Amino acid sequence: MNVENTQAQMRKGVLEYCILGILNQGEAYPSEILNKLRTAQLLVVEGTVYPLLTRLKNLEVLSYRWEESTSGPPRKYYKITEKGQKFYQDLARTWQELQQAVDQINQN
Amino acid sequence: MNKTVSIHIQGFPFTLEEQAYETLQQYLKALKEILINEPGGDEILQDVELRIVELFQECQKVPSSVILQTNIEEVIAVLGSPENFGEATSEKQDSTQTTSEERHGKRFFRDTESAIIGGVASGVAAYFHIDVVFVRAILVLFTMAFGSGIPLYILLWIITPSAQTASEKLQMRGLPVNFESIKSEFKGATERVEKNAKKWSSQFRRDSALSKGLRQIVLLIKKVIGILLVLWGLFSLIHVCLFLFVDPAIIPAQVNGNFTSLGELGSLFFETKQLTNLAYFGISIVLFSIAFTSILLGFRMLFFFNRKWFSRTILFFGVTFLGGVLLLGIVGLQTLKSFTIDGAVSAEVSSISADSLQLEIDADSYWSSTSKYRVSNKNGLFKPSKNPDQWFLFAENGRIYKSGIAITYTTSTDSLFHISIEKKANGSSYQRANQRAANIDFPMNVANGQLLLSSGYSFPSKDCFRDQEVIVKIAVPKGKKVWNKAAVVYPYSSENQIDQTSHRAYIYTDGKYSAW
Repeated sequence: MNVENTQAQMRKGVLEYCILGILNQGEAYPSEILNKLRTAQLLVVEGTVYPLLTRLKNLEVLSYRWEESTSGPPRKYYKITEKGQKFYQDLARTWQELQQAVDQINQN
Repeated sequence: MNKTVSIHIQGFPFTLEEQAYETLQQYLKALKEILINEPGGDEILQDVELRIVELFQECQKVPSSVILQTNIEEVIAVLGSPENFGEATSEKQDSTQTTSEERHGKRFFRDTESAIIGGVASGVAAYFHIDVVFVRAILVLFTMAFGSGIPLYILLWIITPSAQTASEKLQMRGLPVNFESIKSEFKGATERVEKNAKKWSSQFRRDSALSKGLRQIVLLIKKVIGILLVLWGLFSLIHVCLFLFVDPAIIPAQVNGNFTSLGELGSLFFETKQLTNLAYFGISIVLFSIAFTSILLGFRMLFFFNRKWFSRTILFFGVTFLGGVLLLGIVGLQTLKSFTIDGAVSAEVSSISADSLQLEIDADSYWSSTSKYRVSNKNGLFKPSKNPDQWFLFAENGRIYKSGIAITYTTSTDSLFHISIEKKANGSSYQRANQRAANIDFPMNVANGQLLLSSGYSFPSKDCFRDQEVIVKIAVPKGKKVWNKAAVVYPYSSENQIDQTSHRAYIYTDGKYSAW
């Protein structure tokens, strides 16, 4: 049994929820999102985030706009859509349910 | 000292250590292979490249300083190995499996890794998931059976790309084929053939030693053909001039080793002087056109001159050629007409009441395969030929001499041998045909139960060759025999009836009949 693999799978599962959580607070470009995730110690490698962002964008959960940057390359500012907010609320409810379930099982 | 490479990522210039550059390139290539089949793969790649720009800018303490291998390793560690990108999308693949299958359409690649020659066989094996040994065996069988294996192999080699990248290698063994994938496969193949052809022709045009040598040889062959064409053209031109401006009666012609003249030859085939002249004129025009065209083509190969003038002249000779052919056609039709109607003159010349008929033609008589009795001219009653063996024609003093007659046997209705002679010829009308037939002279003699036949016949030269023929019909009474010298030529095959349908003949020797 590979512990690391299980950990990666668990992280990946909540990654989508967390990204939506970050963007629910306001617009952000990938580097910002990555920094927040890293600070929260949720991120191992950045590579997993980019496909996720693109997929969420294609599902119309997210939208983005380009903005020029004075210091570097242009930035893609991601924003959560109305559909995304509903999607996020669903995930949040699920997360709470899961949390309660896990707590309950561990306490008993 | 390290070599550096300058690159642009998403429009931003960077200078990289050579090793760093190679590592980055490999990383991006691997990434591309994984993302290529994903929806929005290009977009993800763009995002990643933008991120790389950011990360590079972060590690540059001084702007535009060189990116080192260690920097690249750090960047890759932050971004994660290419598999991380794939794993994220693999979840999605599960949920939308039906659509992802189409995207993974299998493609046919040459498998150069397990190749013996070009990897075609192993590519086929990978495509159909069968053992490569079978494919090779089939190819060898094809080659042995029809030789078709070799061109087939070369064709596949040319039109299929080799699987070079990992994703191509995966695709090589991919999912089942559908109509769309086959269509795109063929489209791709035609594009590749075009590309390859362009590549090769440009390579050939470039002055490699081989192509130079080849061109020299081609040029030499062209010159030689040119010279031959000019010589041949001049040669035929001389002949044409002889035909046109010299009386054909003095042009020598050879028939069976005997010399005669073209004029006489013509008169033996064409009924009138006019037709003969028209025939010669037609042949002249045709030959003239061919001769001039070949001279022109020859010069064209040797030197270059005005193309417009050239093509017009060729066109002119094309027209004269057709005119000549037309003229010959008319003459030919006229002559054919005099072959259309069969005429015949038949008469009973003698009836003999002897117990047996002694038949004499000459010593060199033989039976042809059609069971018609044909004889050569040698020692006949007839005018002997200068060259008696298989001669084609012999004309002298206004008469044409031909050798070979047919003898047929029938059953006599009474107790007499009946000998009749049938002479045949063709003509444009019954009158003409019958007249020609009557003009045939066939010497023969009947005396003391002996039939003496000539082995040939003659007719006037003005009648021309119109299929003149002589048939000697002998009706044999029941129980009587036809002898030729000591052997029985024609007895009854049985006690009853002569086999009239086949006219078979038998020799009777030592009390036995045998086919003769």
